Amino acid sequence: MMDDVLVMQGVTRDYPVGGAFAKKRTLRALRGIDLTVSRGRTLGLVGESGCGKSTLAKVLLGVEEATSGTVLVDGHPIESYGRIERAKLIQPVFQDPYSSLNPRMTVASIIGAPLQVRGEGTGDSRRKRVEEVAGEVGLPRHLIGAYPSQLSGGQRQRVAIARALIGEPKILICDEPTSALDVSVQSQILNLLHRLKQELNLTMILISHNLAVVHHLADEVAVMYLGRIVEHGPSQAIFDRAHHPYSSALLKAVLPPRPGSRLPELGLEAEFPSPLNPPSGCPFHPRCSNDDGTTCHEIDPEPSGTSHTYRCHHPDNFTQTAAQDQAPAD
Amino acid sequence: MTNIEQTTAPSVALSPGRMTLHRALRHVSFWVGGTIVLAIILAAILAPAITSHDPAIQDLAQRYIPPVWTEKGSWDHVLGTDNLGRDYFARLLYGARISLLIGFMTVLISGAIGTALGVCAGYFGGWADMIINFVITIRLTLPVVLVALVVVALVGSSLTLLVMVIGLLLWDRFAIVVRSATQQLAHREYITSAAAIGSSTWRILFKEILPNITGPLIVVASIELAHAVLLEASLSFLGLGVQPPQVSWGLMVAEAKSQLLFRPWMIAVPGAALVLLIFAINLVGDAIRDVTTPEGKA
Ligand SMILES: Nc1ncnc2c1ncn2[C@@H]1O[C@H](COP(=O)(O)OP(=O)(O)OP(=O)(O)O)[C@@H](O)[C@H]1O
Ligand SMILES: [Mg+2]
Repeated sequence: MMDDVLVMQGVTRDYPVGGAFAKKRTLRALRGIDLTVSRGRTLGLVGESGCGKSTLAKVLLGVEEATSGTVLVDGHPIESYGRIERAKLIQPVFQDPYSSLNPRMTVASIIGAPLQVRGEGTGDSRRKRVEEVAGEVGLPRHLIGAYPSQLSGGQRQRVAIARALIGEPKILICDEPTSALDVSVQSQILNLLHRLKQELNLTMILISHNLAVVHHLADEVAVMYLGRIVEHGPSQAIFDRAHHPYSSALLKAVLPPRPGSRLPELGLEAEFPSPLNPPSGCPFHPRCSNDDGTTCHEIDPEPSGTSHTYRCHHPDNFTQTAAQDQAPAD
Repeated sequence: MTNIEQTTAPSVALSPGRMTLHRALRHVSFWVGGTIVLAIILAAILAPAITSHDPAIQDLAQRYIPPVWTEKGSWDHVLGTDNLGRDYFARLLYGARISLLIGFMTVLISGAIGTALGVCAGYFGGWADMIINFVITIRLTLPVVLVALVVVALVGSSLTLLVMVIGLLLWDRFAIVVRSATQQLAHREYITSAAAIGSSTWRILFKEILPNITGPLIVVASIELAHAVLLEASLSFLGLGVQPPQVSWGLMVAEAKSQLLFRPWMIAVPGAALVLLIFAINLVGDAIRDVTTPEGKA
C-alpha cells in the first residue's frame, strides 16, 4: 500500500536535563524511530512507562519538534504545515480527562474551540455543530453547558473526543485514552473509538501500555522499548507469534490472573533502564531471557523481517500462543 | 450508544469562578475584610457628601481643636483640626482618596508588568525564563524605599510620578508567583490540547492560562495593594510622597509627628485608619487564598 499517511524516518527527540548547577545531560526519549501507518489503519503502540510513547505522539502532533529525522504527515513534512492546517489534519485524545479539559471553560466552548480558533462559521452554526458532535460521541445534551468539574471521567473523555473530531481530522492520536478510566467505562470509550474510526475512516494511533486494550482496535501493533520500535507487525501476528522477548513478556502480563493467584508480572527482573544511560548492544539485554552474554552485549540488532519486523538476535520463533503461556508455574 | 455513566448534572451550571465566589461569601474574614474595605472606599468616594469641610482650607483661629470625645471638642470638627486649622475628619476622608488611588493604580501597573513577565517566563521557559529570572533578581536587589526616594528626590514629586515609581517597583511578587503558577499549568494536557487544535500563543496565554491563575493573582494583588498603600505612606512621611495641598494618610502622620507627645490623637487617627485598611485588605486576601487553594475541586 502506497497511501502512507504517517511516516517517521530516523526520528529522535532529545530533552536537556539537569538544572543550572547540575551537569547538563541529554535524555534521548526517541532513539531513531522508523514507522509507517497507512490510511485508515489503526496502529497500536505499546510499551512500558517512560519508553517514549507520549513523546512520539507529541512529535506527530507537532507540539514538540523532532531533534533529527523526518516526520511526514499526509505526504508532507510536518514543519511545512501552519498550525491551523496541521490541526485540521491531526488531532489528539489524551490520557487524563481530568487535566485535558480547561476547568474554566464550558463543555460547549471546549468542543467548539477548534472551530473558533479557525474562525469557522458563526456562533450559531458552531453551536449546532457542537451539539451534533456531542451527540455523535454520546454526550448527554444537558451537559453541553456544564463545566468539566461536573462531569464524570467517561463523560470528560467523550468531550475530549468530540473536540478532536469536530474539525474532521484524518488522523487521531489517542495517548492512553482509557487508562485513567474505570474498567466499566473503558470498554465504552474503546467501542466509541472503534465505531468512530470506521464511520469517519480515521487513521489512528492508539497508545497504551496494555496490550489487551490494543487487541480490540488495532490492525497492527508496534512495540516500543527505550525510545525505539523493537517489533512491528500485523496485530494477529504479534499476538500469535511475537518474536521479541519483550513483546512476549508484555503478552504474558495481559493474561487474566486466576482467582486467588498473584497478579501476573512482566517476568522482567531488572528495572526499566534509564534513558539517560542506555545499556550497550541490544538495549533489552539486561532483562532478556534469551541474552547470550556476548553478541547481545556488544551489537545492537538491526530490524529483521519484512511485514513483521523485529530487532533481536535471538527471537522467540516458536509459536507462542496465549494458551501455552498460561500454564501455571506454581 | 448508551450512557451508563450519565450523572444527574445540576440544571444551572455554575462556573468555577462563581463557585469560588459562593464559597468566599461563606467565609467570615471575607465578609469582615470586604465590608471594611468597601466602607473605606465608599467614604473616600462620598467624602463631599459626608463632610462639608474642605480638607485644604486653613483657619488659623481654629488651630489644634481636639476631637469630639475630649472636653474641649465640638461636633463641628469631629476629629478636631490640625496645626493650620484644617478639619481633621475631612482630611482623613480626602486622604483616603489619594491613598486608595495610589494603591489601586500601582497594583494595576505592577500587576500588569509582573503577570506579563511571569506568564512569559513560565510558559516559554528556556531563554525567556533565564532572562526574566535575571531581571527579577536584579529587581529584588534594589531596596524599594531607597530607589523611590532617589527618584522622587531627583525628579520631584507628583501623584503620577509616585504611582509610576511604586508601580514599577512592586511587580516582583506578581512575577514570581505567576511564573510558578504558569509552570505548573504549562504541562497540563489542556494546554497541549490547545496547541494541538491550532490555538495561537496569545490565545493559549489569555484563554487557557490566565483564567486558571486568577486565584493566586488576586491573593498577590491584595498583598501588593496593602504594600503600595504603606509605601506611599512611608514616602509621604519622609516628605517625598504626596505634596500639599493634596493629602494622604501618610502625609497626615508626617505632619503630625511634632505633636506626638502633645496631641497623640493626631498621629493615632490616620495611623489607625492605615492599620485598619491594611488589616482588612489582608483579611480579604487570606479568605480568597483559602477558597481558591482547593484546586482539586475544579
Ligand atoms: N519535557 C521533558 N523534559 C525532560 N524529559 C522528558 C520530558 N518529557 C518526557 N521526558 C522523558 O522522556 C522519556 C519518555 O517519556 P514519555 O512521556 O514519552 O513516556 P511514555 O512512554 O509516554 O510513558 P507513560 O506510559 O508513563 O506515559 C521519559 O524518560 C521522560 O522522563
Ligand atoms: Mg505517556
